[in-house]
Amino acid sequence: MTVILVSSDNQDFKVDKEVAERSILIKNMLEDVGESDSPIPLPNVTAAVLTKVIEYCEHHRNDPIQVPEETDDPRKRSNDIEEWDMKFMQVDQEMLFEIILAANYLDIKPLLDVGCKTVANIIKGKTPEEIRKAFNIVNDFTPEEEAQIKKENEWAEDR
Amino acid sequence: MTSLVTLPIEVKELIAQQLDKKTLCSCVRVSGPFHAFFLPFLWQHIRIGVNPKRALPSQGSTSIAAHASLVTSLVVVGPLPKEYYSISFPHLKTLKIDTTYSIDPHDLTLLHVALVRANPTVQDLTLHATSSKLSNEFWEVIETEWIRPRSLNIVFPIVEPNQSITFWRACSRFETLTINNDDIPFFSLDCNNSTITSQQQQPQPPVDAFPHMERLTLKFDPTGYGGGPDHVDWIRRCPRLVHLAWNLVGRWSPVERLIVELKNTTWPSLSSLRLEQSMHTDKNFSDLVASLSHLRILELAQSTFGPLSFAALMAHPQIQNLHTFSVLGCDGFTGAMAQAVLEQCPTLDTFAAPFISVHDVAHEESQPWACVHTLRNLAIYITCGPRSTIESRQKMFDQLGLLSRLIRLDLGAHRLSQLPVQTRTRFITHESTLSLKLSSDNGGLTNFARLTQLRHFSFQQTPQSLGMKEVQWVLDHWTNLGKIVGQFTNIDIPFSRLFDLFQRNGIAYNEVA
Repeated sequence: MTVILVSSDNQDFKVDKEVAERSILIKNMLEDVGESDSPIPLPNVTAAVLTKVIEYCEHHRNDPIQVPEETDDPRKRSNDIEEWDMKFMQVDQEMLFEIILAANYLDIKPLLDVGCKTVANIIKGKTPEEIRKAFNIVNDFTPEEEAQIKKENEWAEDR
Repeated sequence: MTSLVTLPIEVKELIAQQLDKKTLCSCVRVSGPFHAFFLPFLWQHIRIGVNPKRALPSQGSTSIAAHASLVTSLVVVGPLPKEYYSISFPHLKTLKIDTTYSIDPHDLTLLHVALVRANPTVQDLTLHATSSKLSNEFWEVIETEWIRPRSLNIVFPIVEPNQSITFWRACSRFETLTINNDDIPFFSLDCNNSTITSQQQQPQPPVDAFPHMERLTLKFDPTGYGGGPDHVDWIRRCPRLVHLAWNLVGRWSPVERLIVELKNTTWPSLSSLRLEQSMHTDKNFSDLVASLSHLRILELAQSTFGPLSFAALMAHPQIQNLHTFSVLGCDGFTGAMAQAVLEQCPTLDTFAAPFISVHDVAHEESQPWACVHTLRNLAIYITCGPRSTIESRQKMFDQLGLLSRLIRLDLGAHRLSQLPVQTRTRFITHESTLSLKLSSDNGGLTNFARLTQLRHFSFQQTPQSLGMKEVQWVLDHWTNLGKIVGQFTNIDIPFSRLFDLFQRNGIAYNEVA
């Protein structure tokens, strides 16, 4: 069975129901609407981003649904991103954030997790200046302010 | 245009939670908005400790005090300079006091009082090896000034006799109490009398002396006392008790006393019981099981659980609710009993038993396992027995293969070391072990293709001859695996290379746990 998803810029995407239901939002919508064939509008997602999201869901269509564990310790979970996902996430920064926003809106937890891990990996180990360059951020601190913040917080480093 | 700063807060939190402290320190220097957002993540968990490699930075206490409102979890490893003990953390929820160092430059007893007085918001307190650095005042502050204490975890400290009364009164405020490796003496809770006298001379404390206590864990030193009737006397005074765990290493067994209390409905909410190493009779255990009004979690490792206890368990009106059941190390627990539990408990989440035989699963009267959709943890050794056929072994594999929610599968034989040697030798042979080899008659591991949620797998000390083919199969099929234990005897690469191979795939590997 297929469903039709409509992006914010009015492009139609025909997708297998099983693939579309990787999004909990869409899954719930389909349950509410029942047997209707009407297309599902996604006003928050552009065609370019929706293409990527669908690509992810297609590739992962057979993954087991992650059940949240009560005793789940995030530290024990593997921190590695699998190779396909890594290549999938090699997009420009704007697209990366758009994918994350879409995954958040559509409630696709594994995609949201991978997106956030990717961003975290970009930030990790960088100096403040490197972080600014990586994300095009304007430094609104004076050198004195920045030095003060460094001093105030250096205690917390590796504690 | 979307940027890092404009992402929704819940998304930024997911990112921030992955960052180490060094990175967070850089983040707070990047810009105003970055500073505002990442600062709480940098300061939420802190540890103030004596680090032999580096001295505490000067102005450390000023810096901490300036960020005190961000701290929700604190570890104090003392002894520390005085000023650190009077910092107030207005949102502190978790506190651990660790005094393993013996050098004591100040009067630590007063400092510890100052620490608990300054932080009445703490809910979860852990005390580690604080030895004689506590005082009556310390416990009084907790009893009278803490707003909503929740759990108390004590490791190694000694509550001195003259502190027992204040200690027990402070305990009465907690919901969860864990006492590790300690023998906390018992005294009357009568506050009028501060001297130690035997229980017969004291008026009995009220029945609900511990009105909030729901979870109680007593772990005694294996060489020590192990607990006595005194302990049951005060456990009686926890009317809301839900969970009781007691490793009974001493010679005295509380089982008879517990039965009396259960029959008196002393603990109407008790649904979780964990008694390790309790050597009482099978009959007594059967009475114990029969007296439990709720049956949800039952762990009786290394006990004399046997046919009578088993009958009582199966006859229990709440057998359908059994969630966790462990009888590891119980010689009297047979494979047929294991099969019965698996057949009849539809909500079973965790099951640990010495062994099950292929015959138990494959004979004509055996039923399918009721728990295939709920079982997440299974620890059991599988033996084929002398008469197993390809078909009967396949039945076993078929059952195991249906456990799609399994997270931990432990087929190891190492726990059977408690069995007598003859039994062990009979059990654990190449012929008697269910082969996991891919090329074996039943396909071995291929039967486990649906166990995709598996995170932990062990075949420790089972005579298998697995090699690279099996390693590759594991890597290809169990993508959530984080740990594997067992010996790959049919492999020609050294251990270190195998270890690295697994590690590159995010899996911790060892031959024994």
